[in-house]
Amino acid sequence: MNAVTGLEEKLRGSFRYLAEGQPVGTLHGALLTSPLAHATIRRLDVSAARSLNGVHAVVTAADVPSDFVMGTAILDRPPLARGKVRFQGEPMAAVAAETQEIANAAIALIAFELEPLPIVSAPGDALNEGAAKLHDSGNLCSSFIYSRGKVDADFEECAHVIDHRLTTPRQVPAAMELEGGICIPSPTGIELRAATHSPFYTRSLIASMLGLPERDVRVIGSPIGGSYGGKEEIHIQPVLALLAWTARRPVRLILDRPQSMAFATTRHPFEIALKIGCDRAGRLLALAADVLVDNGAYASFGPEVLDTGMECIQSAYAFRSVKLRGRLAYTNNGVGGAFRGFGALQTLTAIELAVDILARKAGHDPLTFRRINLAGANDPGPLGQAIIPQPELPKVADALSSLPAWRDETPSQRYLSGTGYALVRKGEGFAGGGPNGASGVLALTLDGQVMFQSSLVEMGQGLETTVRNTLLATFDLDEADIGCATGSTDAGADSGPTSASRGTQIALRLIRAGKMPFLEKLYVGAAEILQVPMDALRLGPGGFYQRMAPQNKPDLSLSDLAASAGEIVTQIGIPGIETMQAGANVHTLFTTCAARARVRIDRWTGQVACTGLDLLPACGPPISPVAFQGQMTGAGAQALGFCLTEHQPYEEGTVMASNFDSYFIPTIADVPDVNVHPVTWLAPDDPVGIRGGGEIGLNAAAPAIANAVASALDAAPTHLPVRPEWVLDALARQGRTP
Amino acid sequence: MNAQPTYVRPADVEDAISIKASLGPAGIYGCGLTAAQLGWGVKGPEQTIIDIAGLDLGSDVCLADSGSMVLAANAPLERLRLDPLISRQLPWFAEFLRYVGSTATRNQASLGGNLLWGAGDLEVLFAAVDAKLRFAGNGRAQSLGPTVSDQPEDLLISIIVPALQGQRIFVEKLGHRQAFSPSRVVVAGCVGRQSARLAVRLAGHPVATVETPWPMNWPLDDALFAGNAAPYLKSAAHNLLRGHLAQLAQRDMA
Repeated sequence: MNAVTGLEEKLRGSFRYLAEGQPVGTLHGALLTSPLAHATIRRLDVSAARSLNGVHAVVTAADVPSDFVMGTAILDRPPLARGKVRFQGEPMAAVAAETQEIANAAIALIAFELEPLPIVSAPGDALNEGAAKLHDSGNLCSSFIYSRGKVDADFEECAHVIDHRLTTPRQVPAAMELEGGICIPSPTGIELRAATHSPFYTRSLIASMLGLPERDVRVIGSPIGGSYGGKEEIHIQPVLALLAWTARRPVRLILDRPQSMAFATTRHPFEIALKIGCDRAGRLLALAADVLVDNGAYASFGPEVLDTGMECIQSAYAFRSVKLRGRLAYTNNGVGGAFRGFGALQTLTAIELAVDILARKAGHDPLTFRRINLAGANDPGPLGQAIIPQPELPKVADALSSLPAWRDETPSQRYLSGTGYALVRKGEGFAGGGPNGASGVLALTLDGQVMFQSSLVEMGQGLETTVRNTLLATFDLDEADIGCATGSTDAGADSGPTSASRGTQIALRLIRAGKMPFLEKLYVGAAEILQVPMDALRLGPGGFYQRMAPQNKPDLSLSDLAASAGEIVTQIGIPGIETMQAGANVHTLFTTCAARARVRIDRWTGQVACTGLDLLPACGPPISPVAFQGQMTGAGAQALGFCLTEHQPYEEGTVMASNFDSYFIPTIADVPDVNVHPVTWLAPDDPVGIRGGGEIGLNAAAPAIANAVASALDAAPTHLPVRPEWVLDALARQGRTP
Repeated sequence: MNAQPTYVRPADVEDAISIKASLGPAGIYGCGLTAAQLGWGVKGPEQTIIDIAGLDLGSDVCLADSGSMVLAANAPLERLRLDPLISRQLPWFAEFLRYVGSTATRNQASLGGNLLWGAGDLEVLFAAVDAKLRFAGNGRAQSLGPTVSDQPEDLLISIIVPALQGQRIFVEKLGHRQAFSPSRVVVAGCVGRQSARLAVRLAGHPVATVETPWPMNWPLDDALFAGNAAPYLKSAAHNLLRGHLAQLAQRDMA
């Protein structure tokens, strides 16, 4: 069964995002955003806007409690700029009016005066003494330090040492659905319909801002028309809620694409300097890494992104000693935030490039080199933490080595080709401290459906399909007997964020944990009604059957059971799989993936095309193969963008690409067939079950593509996306231009 | 917020010319306009657009007795791409159209609009084959080039592609990705037995055209590569031209 939520509507083009179903009488919202990247707000006069006929609300920072700021590890972001603006496109005021035209006219009537401040446009400059400070605390948002073993001595012992530097792009989520939503107030609360990965977190935040009890805030967070992490952030929900609560009318607010390109959180650009070395046998001995991250104007998920990147910088390999330093700097370049791959993508790409360089220098082929340096199944995690054992690592390496050879390409004077590999691992879920646990509900509803309720969010990843497939398999029921409610606070059970590849894993663990207690309740109820012992019954399609008197229809239908016994509910809670470690945020569960990529390089133009991509995710057996393939294909496309086409440049704090005619996401013409070879084996004593496939394909695909470029050119990229200019230069240096 | 442009839709060619005469510089001819919107930025043009999309400018494609092809200025690009006569007579044009805009853009954008827009990819190809623009009124035919205004006073009626017997045509666009991307470089060449006509546009620069004897005297004429263009664009354009010409030369030798 591969039911897709809203399939018919999607095929017919009638599917609606949350911001598109506004009730009659809904007001239209508009934002005033900062034209400057860094300035003091000297004056913000909304009186003329307020007095415009048809305007029902105008809000500024003055309407937000003065101590209300947003963030995760660091709370530093007001929903509307307070006192100063820190990036171009930062909201300063918002309007709700009878029509969009009136709202826009009101925005134009807002008088403001901004006094420019020096712009901090490079993370290195941001940390220099004397740099203009974005925040009172200074421009160092967060830092990371870790060392293990004697790095200097180990480098002395190395037979081969290489240095490599890599800068990575500011990638834009580029979701089809723009940030927006509808908020409907009632006399005592609000209903907020806006995409989010975490309805309960959004509820808590909005309730706190409005001074409402959480029970009076209802959040509907899905379906989502693409997020990739961009909607994990709180986006315009607080401003929308503020407008509706102030106007006492439903309000719809949605960004346009240029606003989104400036406002949406992006992937953090990393500047990574690596030094690694190995002995004569090719065993990795030492790693030294220095990482500098452009965080943009507010912390958002930056500290977690830095920590995850630093945790993953050893990839799946066992270094004897490491010395790591990471710094996250505030700049006026938009806001970096959660993005599929979450810091790991950047550092994994760098280390996998470095591993290939070192392998070549040491005279090993890259696959053998990876194989002999894999971390042991029962080794501690990269930062010395206890982790779930990874016996799958050698199996993934073997699968990578066993891929059938590419078909030979026709020899050409114009094109070069190259093949690259990667083998990576990344922590799944959140680091110690979570939120890692989750709640959910299994219920027999009054209309006789076995329903799984959670606040996990469907965002196109196939969560609901996977849940439905699992319910069918778990309870041996018919499709009509099961249901799934996700994506809102209605579930009454906080399942935590649908982030960090955890959604599917959590849903399946919840169902597994709830199965026996829920079944027991069903069997008790059925046995009572049918007046037979429980072990004389069997749950099957449509209801309960008596084992000794088989019939072609149930002896007690689920709806009859519900009619007699009432709603049967099992609350489920699962603990987080997490390790707390002093001084570092560490993951306990790691997911592994390998990749092989082939590129074709045009010697005339320097353009790079990816012509083949194999992904080998070790996530266990896919529950919904089509959804899994979709996740992996999308990962391949996003990796391609990261490596070859996508970058949001800023010049002196000014966003340079405000639409998709100047920001180039790969199209279907750029993406090769992505061949997925799932490594389905799970250790018999594996305590978790399947792993999520949301990010790991991307994390492996990108370094494989980068390594394929390096292989074709005999020169490893130092800057992503790979620019054709650099390719032609590299060819010219080698005398290989036409 | 985009300003909404003002449109007028003339009944026929005479009406269009009359409207233009009455509006003077305050009116511009337009057709399809999807492509032109890329150049509008956040604001539409201030002039009134005299929309010629619905005018009868003759068949989209005509094969003249002389062997030249006459293409209607307001023919949508996608219709031209799918036209059987184009596929037979000008296959290089049909093939290249796949790389001009997206299908949706080509459904709206017209040949004349692409040629006069100032940044259209087809201008390079049509300059290489020395196509002529025929305007209403005095019936004059003009080559593509710097003297053609992107907002001509006269109504462009048709484009004439000369008979190209025995000539080899190549054209290539370098964008930012495989599909639907603004061009960084477009090169084209029309190579005959005695001479070759080459055309190049580097992003942000006008089309440069050069006539050269064939077989060629290397190196390529520097005039093809705009002086202040980025070095990469020059290198890529140079490589593309040299590569295509070398392939043709090899075939000639074979």
